[in-house]
Amino acid sequence: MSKYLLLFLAAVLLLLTGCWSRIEVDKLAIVRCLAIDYLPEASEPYLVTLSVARPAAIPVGDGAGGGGSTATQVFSGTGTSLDLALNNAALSMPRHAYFTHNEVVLIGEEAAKRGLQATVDLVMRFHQLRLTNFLLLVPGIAHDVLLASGRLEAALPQEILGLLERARLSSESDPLEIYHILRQAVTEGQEAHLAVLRLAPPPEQALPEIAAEKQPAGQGAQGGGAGQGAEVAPPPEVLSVNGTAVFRDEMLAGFLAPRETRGYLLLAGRIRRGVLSVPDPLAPGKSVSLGILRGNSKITPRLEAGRLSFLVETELEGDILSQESLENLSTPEMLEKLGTAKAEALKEEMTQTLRRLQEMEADIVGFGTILRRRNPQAFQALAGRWPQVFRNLEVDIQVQAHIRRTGLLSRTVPLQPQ
Amino acid sequence: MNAFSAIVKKLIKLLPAAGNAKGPEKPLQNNRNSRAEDRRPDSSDLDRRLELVRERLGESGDLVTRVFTSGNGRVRLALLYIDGMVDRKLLSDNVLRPIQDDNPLLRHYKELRPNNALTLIEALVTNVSETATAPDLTQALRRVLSGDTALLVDGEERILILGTRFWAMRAVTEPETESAVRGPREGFTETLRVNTSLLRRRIRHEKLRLETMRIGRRTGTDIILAYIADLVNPRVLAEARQRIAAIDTDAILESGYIEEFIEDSPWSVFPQIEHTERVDKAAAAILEGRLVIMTDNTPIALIVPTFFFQFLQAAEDYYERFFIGIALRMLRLFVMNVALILPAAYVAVITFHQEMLPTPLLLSIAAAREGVPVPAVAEALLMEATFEVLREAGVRLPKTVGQAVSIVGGLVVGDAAIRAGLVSPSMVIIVATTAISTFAIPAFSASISLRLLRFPLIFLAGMMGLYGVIIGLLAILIHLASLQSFGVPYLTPLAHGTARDALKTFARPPWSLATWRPKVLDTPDRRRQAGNMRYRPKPPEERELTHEETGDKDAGKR
Amino acid sequence: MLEKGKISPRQAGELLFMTIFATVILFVPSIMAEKAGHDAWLAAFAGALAGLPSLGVVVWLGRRYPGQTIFQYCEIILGRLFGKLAGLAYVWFFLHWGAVVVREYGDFLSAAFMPATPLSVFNFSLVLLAAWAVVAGLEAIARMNEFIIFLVVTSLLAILALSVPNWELSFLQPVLAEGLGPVLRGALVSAGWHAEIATMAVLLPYLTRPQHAFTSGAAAVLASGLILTLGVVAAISVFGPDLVAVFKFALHYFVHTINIADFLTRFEAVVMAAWVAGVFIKTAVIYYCAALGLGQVLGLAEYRPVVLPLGVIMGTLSVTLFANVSELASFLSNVWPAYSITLFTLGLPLLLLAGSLLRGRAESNGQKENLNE
Repeated sequence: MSKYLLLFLAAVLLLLTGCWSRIEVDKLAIVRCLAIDYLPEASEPYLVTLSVARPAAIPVGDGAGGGGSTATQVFSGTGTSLDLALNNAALSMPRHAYFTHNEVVLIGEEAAKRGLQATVDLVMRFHQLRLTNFLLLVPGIAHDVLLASGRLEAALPQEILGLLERARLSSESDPLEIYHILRQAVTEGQEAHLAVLRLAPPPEQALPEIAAEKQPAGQGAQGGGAGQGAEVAPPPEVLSVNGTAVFRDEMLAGFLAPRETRGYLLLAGRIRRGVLSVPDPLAPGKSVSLGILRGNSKITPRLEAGRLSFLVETELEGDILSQESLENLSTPEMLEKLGTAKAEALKEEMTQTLRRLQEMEADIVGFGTILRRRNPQAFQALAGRWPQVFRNLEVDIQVQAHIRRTGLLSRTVPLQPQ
Repeated sequence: MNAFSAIVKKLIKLLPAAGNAKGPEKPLQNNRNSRAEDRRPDSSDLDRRLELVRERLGESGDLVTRVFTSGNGRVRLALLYIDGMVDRKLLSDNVLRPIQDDNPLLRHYKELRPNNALTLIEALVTNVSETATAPDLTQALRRVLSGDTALLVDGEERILILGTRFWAMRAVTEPETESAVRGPREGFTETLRVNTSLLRRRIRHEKLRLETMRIGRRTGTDIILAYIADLVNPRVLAEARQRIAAIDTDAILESGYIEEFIEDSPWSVFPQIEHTERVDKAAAAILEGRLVIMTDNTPIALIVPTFFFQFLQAAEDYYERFFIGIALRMLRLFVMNVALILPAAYVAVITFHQEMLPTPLLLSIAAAREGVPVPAVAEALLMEATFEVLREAGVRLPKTVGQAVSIVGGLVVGDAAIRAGLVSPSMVIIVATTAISTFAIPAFSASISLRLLRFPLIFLAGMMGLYGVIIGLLAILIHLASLQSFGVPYLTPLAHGTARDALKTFARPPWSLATWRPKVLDTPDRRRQAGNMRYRPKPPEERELTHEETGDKDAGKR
Repeated sequence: MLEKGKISPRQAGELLFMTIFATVILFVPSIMAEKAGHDAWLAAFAGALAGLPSLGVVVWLGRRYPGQTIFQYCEIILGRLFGKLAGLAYVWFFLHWGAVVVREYGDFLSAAFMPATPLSVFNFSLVLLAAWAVVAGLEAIARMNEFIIFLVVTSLLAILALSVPNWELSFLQPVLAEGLGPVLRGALVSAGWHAEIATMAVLLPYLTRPQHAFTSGAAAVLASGLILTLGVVAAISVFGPDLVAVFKFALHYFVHTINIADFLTRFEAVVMAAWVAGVFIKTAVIYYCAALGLGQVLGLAEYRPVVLPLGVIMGTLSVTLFANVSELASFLSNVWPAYSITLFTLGLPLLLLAGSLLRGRAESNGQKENLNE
């Protein structure tokens, strides 16, 4: 008897149950990229921009679909708080804003200067945003980035993701997922850093000589395509991911150049692929290109007579990529020499980076954390004034670089018979 | 019990002849007690009895009564049989001829009289391999209705029964519903005797028991309980006997009737008794310690006790290489889940949990659904229902027309619906995958239950998303866990029994390792075979060297 | 006998494992990271070990009163009136516990998956489902659990394995830097949950081999402790202790971070499915204990008539007990361990043990006196 009563109750409950959380997939505005800006002069200073996928632009079946032009569409909203701005941006869309497929969060320079706290809180509290989103800093206004168009990918978010994927291999930038950034930021004795996504003129036009040379010719060529050519269109800017934004106490403290970013990655022992050029030890004036394949760093705190210092031991492996001279560099002695030269060059990069970080008093490598793990008491004594301690920290950097391979050549091909 | 039947007998005797029509109170299939008129003083009178027969069977065209005399006219005899169910040639050559007056043998025994006629004739008709005597008309008529011939002797109360059953029957053919690439091609037929012979041929063991029962008040259908006496669990056997004996119904036309009468929970959508047409499958079940219930007039035999996961096994698993058997079972397990869950999960994911899809997939599904007028739940229910209609139409139609249905339904309607934007292509893929999955489940009865359960799951998915699906699945699980089949939990061995059993259910073991029978069946004799029989090559010193190895070049010439 | 079914010691162990584990894995890592920081994993295991004394006491009691549940023998030990009162208190405990579990369940689902759906829908659907399972009986629950435990444990271990690439084991250092204090505070939380093994006091008489009760119970506690420890290690090495401490549902975020080749990713909902099944078993067991207990205390011939009323109470309590999530969270981390250990999972059983020993001595004295006479 009670069984039937149960069944009845279950049926009633089912019918009472509405479809609260139900949204058809064709009623969704799938947000793929989110940009946060702060405009100090505006009355509603927060600006949130969403890059939303347009499924209608995706061809289906026999190509009957695809009745649109752009694969993404940009919506933005302003507000006195981040959430209000986000809400306003969402309200300007004809569909439900849906964030679970958001993969990149961009934060504008001004907003970053005001701190990451609000952004982080929003991302973590909101169940639709995933912690695997990439958090990137945009120098200037982040909103502008979303207005750019992809060069290879039809959709801009896809283009950004592709760039991030590449950047991970380049060692000139360190794009991290939000939870990586967070775990770094909340750890005592370590500061956060973000990778930088910038919108810049393409490198060939960035050089003034080339730009000047090309301008008249370009005008002539464009004449047919762009119509009258009365107004010279500025060269289309392209996206690039390089360099690092350094934070101190959740505020933007400064930037590291791409090369300095590599120095940071070397210090932190997270170096990936990289290329550097060192002078040829046998042919003065000529250079050799060396590749970095992998590397590792070990940081040890040393406390001698109350003086704190750190030892960074970095070990690298790599190969020869190319050489300009005709000398045979493939002998064991030469490889060792090249290794030393490479170690010297990279040590210089690391020292440079460390100096910059110390100037900013931002310990993004986590020397403090390492001290805390090895010697909790010693760190406890310094915890309150760690940034100052870090500024004057003595760090001994030792780099060992091994050249393991020389590519497919045993020595270079002499084009001039000797 | 005896006292009770005695009382019943007395009561019946007291009743007038008309009272016999009031059958319902007494179980007919066990009706060993005879009717009142059989006991009357004139119950040996031939004419009176023939009249009675006519009274009871009516004017049936196929009832033949042949009255003749023998023993120089001293003895009046009557043959009683149903035309079409007896071997007429056997009857005339081997029954009528020996009792004819001019039979020299009979003349030799001149003294054929009413009082010795029965024994004498029984001795004479040696060519009829099966004879018996019935004490009275009722029992004789029952045999006659089964195809035997009754020989009535005037003045003799007992009736001689001659085993003359013979009728047109379907040949033993390949089982159509359970075909196999490798394995015997013989399937059960509608004739019980043929079926038992098929079984006997496979199990030539003295302990194979074929226990006959007769149920169905009007159909009087023969049921055979087949088992091996020292393998079957006595508790299960007793339970089965008792449940079958308790059936009191007019008709048993198919084993499905019995299945519903004896299963533990008739109110469940899940089949709790497996059925098969395959002789080898039935034999395997018997050898495992199960019980096979065969029913006359149907090629479908029942196997008890049954576990849910048996429905995922096919006989062929055991004939092909065991790796293939394992892979196939894993595949079927997966396919079963697909058949049950896929459409519901799809609906849940695309209306509630879009976050689960990879971004490119979500975008293409979103693109495909642009402009589809109905919500995804309705779309799914509609498409699934359409599929069921197509399938049903295909099954009932003659094969040639069936193809046309599938072309019109599947290709024309499906394609047109997508082109018109009424349904999304992704939903068609889902429904088609589900449909194919249901066909990959070996047991039709199980797949049809899963198919039915799919609809409430889709509905739940539309209401509450994956949460609804999980709630639905848990409800199904509660139901499954509370089911039993003849005292053994239905979810065995997954939710009961040993890990070894579970492993054997989901991955069929190589035969050399299949030493034990399933433990949950609790068979008196657990051991199936000698342990670890795998062939091992002899070590080189014991092996006879081949010609190449001995270097004997002339060996081949000798 | 209100329950005619029998379960094997293994099934009992699995039921108890699920009874402890289902909520532990979702809520406890955060609470322990908050209390014990990077040493939370030590606290997790230490706390699990603390479940053993509780198990020992109830198994000892169960052996002393074979065939009887705690509801029955507390009447023998404490006398009719106090025994009934203690029995009712236990029924209340199970009811309250059930309500808390159901609330945790509803809160998680509505916070992480379907924010638009009211809490009561989740709570009442779970209670209804559990009610059906309770009506189906202990054997059915045990059978279901054998299926579900496989699902839950394999999915969890799979997640842990898949997350290994994200691990940063240095987050676990330095070990015991702040001394034992935080570890013990964290261990109390884990202990509060693992002492729930005392549920064995109800299941023990229905074991096919009651002499294996301790072994199977201990295996359940240790397995739960071990997997919890592994889970805490994983959570801390992915997020760091400070981040785990602020998460409401560490497991949920944990699954977020898994991404193997852009293919094995985004399966929170699958984990949610396994977890729902696990909590369903947990609720069913607790609910069953409450219903059986009430039946036994009231001396009913069947416990099934009380199932629905108890369910209504449990469901209603689960909605009204806490006004908001923070109340629930603070209850779980501050009140619950102490409340359940001191009163029900260890306190009352110890009292019963003492009473039983005293009574035993009195009885044996009495027998001696009888002999003397």
